[in-house]
Amino acid sequence: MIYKAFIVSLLSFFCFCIFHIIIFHKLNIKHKFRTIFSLVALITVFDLLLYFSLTDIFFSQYALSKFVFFSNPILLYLLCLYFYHHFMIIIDRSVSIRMAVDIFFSGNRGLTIEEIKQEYDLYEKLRDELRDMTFIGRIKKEGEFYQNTDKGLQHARVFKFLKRFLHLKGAD
Amino acid sequence: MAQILTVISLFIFVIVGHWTYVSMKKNIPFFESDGQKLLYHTKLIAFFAVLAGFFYFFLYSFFAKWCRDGMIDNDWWLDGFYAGYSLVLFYGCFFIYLSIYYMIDRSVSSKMMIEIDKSANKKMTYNDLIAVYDVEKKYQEALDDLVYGGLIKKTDDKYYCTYKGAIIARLASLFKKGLKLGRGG
Repeated sequence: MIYKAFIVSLLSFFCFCIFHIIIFHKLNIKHKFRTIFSLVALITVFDLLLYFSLTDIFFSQYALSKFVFFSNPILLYLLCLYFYHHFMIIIDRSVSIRMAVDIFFSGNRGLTIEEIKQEYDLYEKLRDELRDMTFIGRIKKEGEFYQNTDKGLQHARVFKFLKRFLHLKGAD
Repeated sequence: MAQILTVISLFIFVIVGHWTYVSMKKNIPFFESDGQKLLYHTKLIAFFAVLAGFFYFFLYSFFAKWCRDGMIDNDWWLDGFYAGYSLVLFYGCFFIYLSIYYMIDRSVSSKMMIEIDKSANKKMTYNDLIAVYDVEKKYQEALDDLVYGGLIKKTDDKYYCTYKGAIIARLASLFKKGLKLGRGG
């Protein structure tokens, strides 16, 4: 039933977040993304076991069913839109995708790293990022120097905190 | 079931609307930066998403009637379908989590803002930022990631697309052409 599916998926996601934070805090993880995907595989099994082991009666309660009735389509719609929007950003902005496309269009000739550098200028990408950040008001340019605006400073500090919290490099 | 079918229909409407508008429009504005291009497409997607939302109740009542009249709600596979649906929702939430995690870990913009904040005078030149970002290393890292992911292979000094890489590159190229995104990267 849809009420059970909705609640079980949120419970599974909650478990994933908890385990992710515990594992990354307690263990010294070398392959971050591989570990995350292994955890997702485990939670997938947990999700299915939970779905088939829980009884339907609890989920038929009036208040819960009303909550799910309104939340389910909103969540699903937002997830679909987010997925589409983010997919577009990845296709457009990803360095790896751009390189793969350039190599693909070279055909059987292939490309050396020097030829890739001629096709795709990462220095220009960095200039573009700086233009973007100036456009959205995160940094400002004074003479030849770039400085954080108040918004940029808050952004930097939030990200620094999150990097420290998730044990990611680059915060200190 | 009716809710899921309704949302999927609305989502298809958004994609078709977005693609049709962009491909039909002759004069796509010139974007000075990727941020402006992203904002343009975000506004378009949001417009079609809100427009589609107005049809929710109409479509929902149609699908609810269809599900009641048909065999769908009585079918034996329905339980399996909802079990799969709970996985779809879980993967959806996970995708959002992963993209935020990835942004915190890899975002170039955030890295630059953090570096500016860490610098002694709280300001850096373009050359300082280039040195921190290490562009030369970035090329090699991106290529190594592609080789590791099996999208390209290295023979002698040259990189070639694998079968898997060719499919992804073709799809990406189609998407970029369809939405007039330019070469991107």
